Amino acid sequence: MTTTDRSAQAARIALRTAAAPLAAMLLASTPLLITMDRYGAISFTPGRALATIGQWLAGLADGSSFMYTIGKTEWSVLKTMPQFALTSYLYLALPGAIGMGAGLCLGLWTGRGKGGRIEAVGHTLYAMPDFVLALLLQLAVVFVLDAWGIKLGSISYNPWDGPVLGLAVVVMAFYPLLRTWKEAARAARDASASDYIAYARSKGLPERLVRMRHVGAAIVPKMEADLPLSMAVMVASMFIVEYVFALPGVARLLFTAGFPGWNPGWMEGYQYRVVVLCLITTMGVYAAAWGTLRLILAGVRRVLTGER
Amino acid sequence: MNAKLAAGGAILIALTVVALFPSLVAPFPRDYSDTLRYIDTPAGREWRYAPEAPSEHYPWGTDKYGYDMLTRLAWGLRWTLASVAFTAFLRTVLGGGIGVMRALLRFGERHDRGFTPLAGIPSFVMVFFVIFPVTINSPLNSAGLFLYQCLAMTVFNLGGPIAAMSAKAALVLRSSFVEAAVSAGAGKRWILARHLMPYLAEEFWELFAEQTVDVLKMVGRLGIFFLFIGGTTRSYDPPILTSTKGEVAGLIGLYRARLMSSRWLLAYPLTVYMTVLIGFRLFASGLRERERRNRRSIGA
Repeated sequence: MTTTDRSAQAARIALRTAAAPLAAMLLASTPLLITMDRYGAISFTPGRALATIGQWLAGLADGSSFMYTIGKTEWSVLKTMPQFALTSYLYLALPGAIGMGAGLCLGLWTGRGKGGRIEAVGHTLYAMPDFVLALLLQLAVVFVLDAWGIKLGSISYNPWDGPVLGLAVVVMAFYPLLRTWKEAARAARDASASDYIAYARSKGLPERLVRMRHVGAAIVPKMEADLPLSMAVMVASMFIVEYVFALPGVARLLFTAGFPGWNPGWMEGYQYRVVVLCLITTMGVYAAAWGTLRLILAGVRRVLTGER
Repeated sequence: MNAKLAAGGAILIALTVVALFPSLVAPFPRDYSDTLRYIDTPAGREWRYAPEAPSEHYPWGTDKYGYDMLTRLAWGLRWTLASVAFTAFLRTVLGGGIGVMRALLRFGERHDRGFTPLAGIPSFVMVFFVIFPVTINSPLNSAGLFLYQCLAMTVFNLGGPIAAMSAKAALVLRSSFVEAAVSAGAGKRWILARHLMPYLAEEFWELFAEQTVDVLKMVGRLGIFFLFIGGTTRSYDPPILTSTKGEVAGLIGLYRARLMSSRWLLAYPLTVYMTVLIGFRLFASGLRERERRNRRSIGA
């Protein structure tokens, strides 16, 4: 990539980042575009959506846009959001790193041969939806508890200071692991057939060194290229995992505080203020986790190649 | 036809038959419910309350309002299959069509999108925001709501099909026979009709099959948040949210809280959902395999 290309790409990323809060404001206003009266008649109400956006923008100055209620208690996003964001970040970055690390090792291992059935099994499991996996894990725990009468751990919890929830980490690490495994095995096979690997082997380098320095180093760029897609899958899973396992993260806050009146409920309880801030924070969490995983991959590459 | 394609096709045909003629497997009429009944045993009269565990009378059990689960799932299956097939069709035609046109009109250009914070909002969340206001106690009729939900699931997921078909079309456009046609004076319309589409017909089928799996996941995710295909019915006294049409993926979301008790309420919808998923998945995988073999046989 030339310097001009890099500058153009940096400009595009900066533009998208600047546009992100606007996108969040518009998306959060979509439920307000349609209004249903008590007799069930629907009307299109863009004025209502625009007025809400205007009120939110005006409220940024006096701080009212940062307030939301749960039940009868009023909270400030400025005080509570960092904790929610940290939880989401941890359940995104930690399992992401674990999954990608394990996937890299598996890819290096199975990439030596043709792959065959074990990779086919991994590929098939990847098609299993995240919410099905979460529910199956919960069912499995309940069955084990019933069968053995022992408590293995909680299947969902809500404390701020509790330990990391194992099942949630398993679900979150599952998809990056399988995706990285598939990509890494393919990249390892491609690299193994290349001339520079054959040359390294012909020079008598130990097989372990060849795999680490050459094959491993060839895989990491592929993982970096695939990171946006892996992250997209992980963020979708984050919304499901936080909701199913009752994790106190941003995604759960969005649905529990943003739509408080829905179970049972209707639009009367919709809190635009907290929804728009949750969406912006989710994008921030995504960016932070993306940056973290990029750094980890860069570190892995340095360790494998011995570069400084 | 390879084994995967045959197996996937057989599963989907069987499911379609059930969806079209649910009475074939449903032991009770569509809206039948029974919250309290008795059976006479040698020990005397025994009273049974809903939810009932699976038994000879109710093979898949009942929910707490006395609805037979097998009947409910048999009638709900048509909504699952219809939403998946229709949305996947829309995504394939619209997304695939746009993708091909993009490749054709921007021939030779490189597109490196890079990082975007907007990717932090999953598409199913966007769909949630759009369908939420009209899904609960919807004033729209069933067909209208179904159409709206399918359109929403299409519009917010066109990126994937567009990128996939654009990449595949670009690959064909780079081939020597297209270059030869261009140098011989072929216009874009000619290239599209005579060179691109014949090669991409199979790709469109594959894209459709992949999208079915993707849509099925999305329908299930929305169900976790109580937004069901065909509508969510909310009653006020008692306050209850339920799936209006009994769509299968929605029932999973509805009954996921039944994990600690009445587990059959979760187990049977999960089983049916997984059967549908496996059917579509095998079908997609079989199509991919067939395409790979075809390519090998023509040396592409």
